[in-house]
Amino acid sequence: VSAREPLDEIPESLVAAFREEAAELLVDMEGALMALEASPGDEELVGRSFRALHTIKGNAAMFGFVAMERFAHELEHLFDLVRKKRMAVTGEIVGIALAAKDCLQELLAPGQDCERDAAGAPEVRRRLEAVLAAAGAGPAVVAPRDASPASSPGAPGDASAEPGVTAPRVDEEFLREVAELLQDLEVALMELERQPGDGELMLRAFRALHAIRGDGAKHGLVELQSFVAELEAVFEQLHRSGEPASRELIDLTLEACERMCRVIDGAGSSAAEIALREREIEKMHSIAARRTRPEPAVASGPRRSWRIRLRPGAGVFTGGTDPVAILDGLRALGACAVRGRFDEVPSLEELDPAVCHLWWEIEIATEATLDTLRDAFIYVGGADSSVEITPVDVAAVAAPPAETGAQPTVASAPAPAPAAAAESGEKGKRPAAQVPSGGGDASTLRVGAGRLDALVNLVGELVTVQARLSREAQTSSQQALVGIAEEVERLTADLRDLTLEIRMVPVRPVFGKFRRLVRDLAQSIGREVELTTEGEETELDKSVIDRLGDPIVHILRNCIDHGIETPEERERAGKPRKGSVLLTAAQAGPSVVIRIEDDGRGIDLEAVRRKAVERGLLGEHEVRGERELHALLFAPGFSTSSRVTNVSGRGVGLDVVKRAVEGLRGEVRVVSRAGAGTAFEVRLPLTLAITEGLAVAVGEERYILPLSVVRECVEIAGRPDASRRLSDVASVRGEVLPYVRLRELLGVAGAPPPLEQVVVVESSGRTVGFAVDYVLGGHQTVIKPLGRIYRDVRWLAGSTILGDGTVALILDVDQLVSAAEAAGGGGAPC
Amino acid sequence: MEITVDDDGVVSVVRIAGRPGPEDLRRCREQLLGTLGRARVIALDLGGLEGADLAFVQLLCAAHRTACARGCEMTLASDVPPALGALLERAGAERCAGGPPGCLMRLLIAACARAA
Repeated sequence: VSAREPLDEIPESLVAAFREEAAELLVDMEGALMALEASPGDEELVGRSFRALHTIKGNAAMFGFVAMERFAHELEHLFDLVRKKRMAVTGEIVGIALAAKDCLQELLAPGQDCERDAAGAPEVRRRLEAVLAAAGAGPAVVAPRDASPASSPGAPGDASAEPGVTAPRVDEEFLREVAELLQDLEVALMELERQPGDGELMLRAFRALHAIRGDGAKHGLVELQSFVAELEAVFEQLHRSGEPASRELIDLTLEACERMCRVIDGAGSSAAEIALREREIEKMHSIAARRTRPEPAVASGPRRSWRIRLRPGAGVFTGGTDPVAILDGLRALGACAVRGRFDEVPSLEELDPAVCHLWWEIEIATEATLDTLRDAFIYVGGADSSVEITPVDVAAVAAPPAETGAQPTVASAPAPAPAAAAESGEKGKRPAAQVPSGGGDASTLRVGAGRLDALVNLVGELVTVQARLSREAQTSSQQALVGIAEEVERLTADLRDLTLEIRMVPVRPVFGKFRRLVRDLAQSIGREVELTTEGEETELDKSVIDRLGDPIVHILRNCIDHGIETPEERERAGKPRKGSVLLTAAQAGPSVVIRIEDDGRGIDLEAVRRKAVERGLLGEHEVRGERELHALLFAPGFSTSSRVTNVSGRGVGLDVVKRAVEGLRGEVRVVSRAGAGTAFEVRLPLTLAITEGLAVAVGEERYILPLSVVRECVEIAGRPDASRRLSDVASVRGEVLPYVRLRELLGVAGAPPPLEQVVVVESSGRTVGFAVDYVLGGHQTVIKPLGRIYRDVRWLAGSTILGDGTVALILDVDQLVSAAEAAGGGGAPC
Repeated sequence: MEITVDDDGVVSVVRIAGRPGPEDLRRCREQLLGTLGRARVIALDLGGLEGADLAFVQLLCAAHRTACARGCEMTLASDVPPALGALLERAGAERCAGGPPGCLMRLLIAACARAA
């Protein structure tokens, strides 16, 4: 029987989750490496890199991606040597690790084969061998496993195929859970390395081990269960003793993590592996014994007596928690009288042997505090489990608990039965302390983006229906309907906010990628640049985040290539040799502002003007303000650079930025001071699913203008002679406002009303008005994509459904202004 | 785990040896149910047990309860391995409550103490 399903039978969703997780780890490792270059002695950064490689290796092993496992192991070995101070971090080591990261990333791309070596792997290995040889260290010892898929567990020659070896029942959920638990364990171990005396971390490691054991037990992985139980016991012992974790123990446990993977993988069942594990366990116990104080150090207070009712969950026998071990733990806290309760055990006919019907009454006299007592039960799993702890008189504990059903003998004022005390809530009597069990730990769920998209879509539909309901209710004479509509409106708003919030993710991963980019870019063109990031915790809708990378890459390229001077130039200008780029993110109302600011040479406005005149974008003597000149930088093909490098200068970058940002319904602007630097400001909506809009009417048609670009609405008296003209000007508070008639621009039939409303918008540095018949008011717009047929109508950003059920088109203001300019004298822009 | 039943028409000796796991317990339950259906006396031979857990103890308790309900006597045919006795003590079975008269748990602990 194969110990693990062959690779081609592993669910694709699980492989995708592996790729995603490994990619996140690589991003984190890259961030650590970049920082390590600046602080080579930082152990935390070394630990982060080591941990990332270690986890990738472990997970790759679990999936049978042998080549990837081996490659990550070789790199991990390097960082292990650094961790153990046998090697120092050098630029070459960082370079090798970055190149290795690229190799791994290449394999993790969707559709790539994780079982082969990346193209760049041989070169990385060569460099790795060289640095190891120079340091007098040997290469990583790699377990002899055939990398060919044919040698998957269960194949002839595989240890797990030996007769009598029980095949573990590994499934997708189990692999995912154990991988996460192992990662959590590793994180705790790494942290413990820095803070060896941290009891909370010790507990975290213990919990992870405990959960792994439980999972192993559920899946019939007896070897895993027994192996982890031993580790768990060591950590429990250390936690109770309060002794710090030694480096030796942490190293051993990290090695044990690998062994756990091998046990799960089925490759750990050979006699040699088992012997190795046994030696490891023996070593651990000896470490723990050496370091454990004779007396357990528990939080103590005056000696008190407690009565405890322990009802483990029905699944405790298969969950890996041994109630007897819990009872033993209690005995270690003080004099204990334990009574097993068998009265709920059913007849043999009715018994499911896997279901626990036992429960316990315990009386204990101890100096331990209530919290310490509670700690003894933290692993009583299952939502149906319960632990009640009630204080009792000291004298009661001297004698064993009374027989079935009787109240315990107490010298004075007997405490009520715990349940009764808890339920009655009588004054002067302490209620039973309920220990939450099962699912007490905060947890997160990974949900496919597709499901979230579907949810957002449904909520969008709901918002639309709710708007219709509210509208109907307003015109209804039924008071009850109005009340219901208001309630539905409130609930819908809550649901909408919550749903959109679920999709929000921090910008940190995107920002993390740029460190490497800036480093490589700066090196390639001989600049010295330091990237600083702020506000990485700022959140944006996932769909926005996914599309944010490209525009920022273009801006960064521009900053480094055109903005930051060479070190010599900077010195001559009295600036530090190293240029700085500051990348920040911050929420501003319904938007997030991402700012990329350099301290370079700034934009030469005269050069921009000259180039614009040269390209016919400006008349030779035409005067334009700073803002308008800056806006020209985003024109297609516009570049003031006289040279084209492999980084920028072709004049395509900022045009791409503008289109990408506008595609995200955002806007980009630039501010610059000659000699002092340039700042690009990208303003993006928090979400792409719903936006605030201004609904307007033109004839029978309804349109939505994004509220983010609307500055004000003014009313003007239409001139009869000009009513059919596409564009006109009006005087608004003494200033000339050019405006475009939407009726003419969009070809809407009919005559405008005598008084026109002009919606003033700001787009691409231009202030312009759109004349409409009526402004209907603010509208929360659930954006619906347009069908293929409208794909080429650039002035349309989407559509929405209004409260009365009519369809309104969402206008792309910038494109509309451009279309109006192109249309010149009139006619519809499409 | 191995389970065998020697049936002489009056006394059925049920021998359980090895280390019962979750699947073994189901098999054990079926065997005991079958034996309970035909025997007047069941003698448990647990001398070959190499290890046991609470699930096994619970199974024995259920079997004893069923035997009592059917008027069948359940007793021990051998000494009890010390490990089982220790487990019962740690689980508080010595003072167990709620079992049928002549509680098997206490019988097991007593047998274990005798052997010691």
